[in-house]
Amino acid sequence: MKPSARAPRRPKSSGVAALELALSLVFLVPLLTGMLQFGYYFYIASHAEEAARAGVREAVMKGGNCAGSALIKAEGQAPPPGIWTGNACVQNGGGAAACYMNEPPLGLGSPSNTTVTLDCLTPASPMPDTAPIDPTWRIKVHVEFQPALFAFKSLLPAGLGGKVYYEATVVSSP
Amino acid sequence: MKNLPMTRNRRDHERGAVALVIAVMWTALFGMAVMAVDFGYLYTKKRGIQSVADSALKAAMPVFKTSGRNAAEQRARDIARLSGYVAGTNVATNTTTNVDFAEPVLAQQFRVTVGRTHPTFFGGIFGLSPRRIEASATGKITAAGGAAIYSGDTRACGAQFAWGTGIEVTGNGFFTVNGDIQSKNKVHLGTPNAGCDGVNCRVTGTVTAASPCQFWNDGTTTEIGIGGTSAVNPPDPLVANTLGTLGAACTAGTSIATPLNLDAFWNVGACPGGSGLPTNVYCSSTDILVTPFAGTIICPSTASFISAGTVMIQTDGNITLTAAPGTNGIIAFSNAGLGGPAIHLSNGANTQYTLNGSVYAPNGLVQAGTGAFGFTMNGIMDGFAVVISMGPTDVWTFNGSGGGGPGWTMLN
Repeated sequence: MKPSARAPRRPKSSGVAALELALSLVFLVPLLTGMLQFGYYFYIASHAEEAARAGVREAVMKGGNCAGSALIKAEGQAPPPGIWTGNACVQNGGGAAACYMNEPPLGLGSPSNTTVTLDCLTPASPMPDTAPIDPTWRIKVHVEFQPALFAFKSLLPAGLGGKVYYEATVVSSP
Repeated sequence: MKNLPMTRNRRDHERGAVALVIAVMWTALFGMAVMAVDFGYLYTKKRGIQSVADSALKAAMPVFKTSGRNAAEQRARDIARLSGYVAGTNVATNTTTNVDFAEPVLAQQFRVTVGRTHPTFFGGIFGLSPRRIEASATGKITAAGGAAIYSGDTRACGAQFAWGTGIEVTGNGFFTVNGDIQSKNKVHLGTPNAGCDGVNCRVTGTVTAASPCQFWNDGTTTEIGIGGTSAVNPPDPLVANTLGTLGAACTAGTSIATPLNLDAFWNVGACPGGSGLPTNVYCSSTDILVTPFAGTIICPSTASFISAGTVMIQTDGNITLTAAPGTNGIIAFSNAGLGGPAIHLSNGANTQYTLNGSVYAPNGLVQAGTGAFGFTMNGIMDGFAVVISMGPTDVWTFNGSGGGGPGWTMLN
């Protein structure tokens, strides 16, 4: 009796699909999680850049000079006043940068997430902060947030409490 | 056993198919990774560099306008440096930064270009070497910046709340001046509830109250613009226009020596609910009352009104007027003196008041007090004295004759 051609093949191919899947997942899962992680990170980062731009614009438009800049600084660094967003947020006392980060769906404008630092630089400021004109405003928007996933977290700048951070800096003068 | 060869043949045909599928699939997946990670990273960097270029340009344009290209380049370089962008190669980070300048139109336009090389993560698989991200911002000097609101009041300095002296702004609306506020007398921005703090009340140029008169800003202790002794006697931007020169442009009404009744000119029903005027320079030796003959709306019209008396442009509905040719962009000119409004602009609540031109009363008061939801002036409000009374939440915008701005505008 001749042996069947199929009989010995079955044991050979058994489990191959599972093995292929496992091997694929080794590459696929990190790839997809990495895309998610970095995509979310850069999404927040681009918003932080825009928030910094809005914040420094607000400061520059108020004019004045560094000697009398305490109020401008306080207003620019103020966190969002509760649930207000957009223009209403600014009208109710929030700084433009923090209010921008407070926009839905981000909602990262609260002090524990977004820290806005506004510095008024002058020609008398020591290097490397020597500015060409008084006032020259420098804004730093520091955003700390939970990463989308645990994966690849170590590749991102580490913040406090298991968070990661991004910091945007913009300088402008009238 | 007959089927065995056939099975073997089919298997031979499929051999390598999985490899092909995997090759295509992984190419697509890595493509997606490039999109998500590399492009996301580069996009974020692009946003940051664009902010640096814009900021550098904004800082450099006032200098470009007054001191030329070299000084503007230095200003832009300083701002870029403070943002962390210094031209050259950084060996530690393996990045090359450039900060370049151009003058696309000599003495009129100035461009700042900031660029930096950034690495790619997955892009290398597809041959994407480190990418140079570049952002440009171009500014252009506008034909006329300067005053958007002007008072030539040469009397003794008025008190803070003195009505009809210098420039007086009251009300709780949103007040924006894209240009300068200049006065030979006091300036009072009394917008107490809104607060003239750069948000609800904003002046992009400077505020000048000629010495020794004062500039008061009620809304905040932060002073916007420049007040007090910083400038003396700002020049009247419309001083070249007189009753005589503008009277020569009359095309309706016999001349500035005879009265004019507008009733005969109104085009009833030129727009729903209103009347319009044919394109003309309407002149009169006495008061001109610009009120639609029928309806409540002054339909969009190209018309200017030159009067030895007063000019009143008022109705309950929308008003849209554009200066007629030959008037140097002036919609209303009044030669009347003090004692009442020389030019009076008003309309009803929840309406729009748009003037594409200037109003000029060199000897009298320009009074704008409307309940208009929106008041937009693409021209100069110029009077011996100026009084502006905004209703609550109204949006008032003054753009000056150059389209607004402190003498320059950003192109891209």
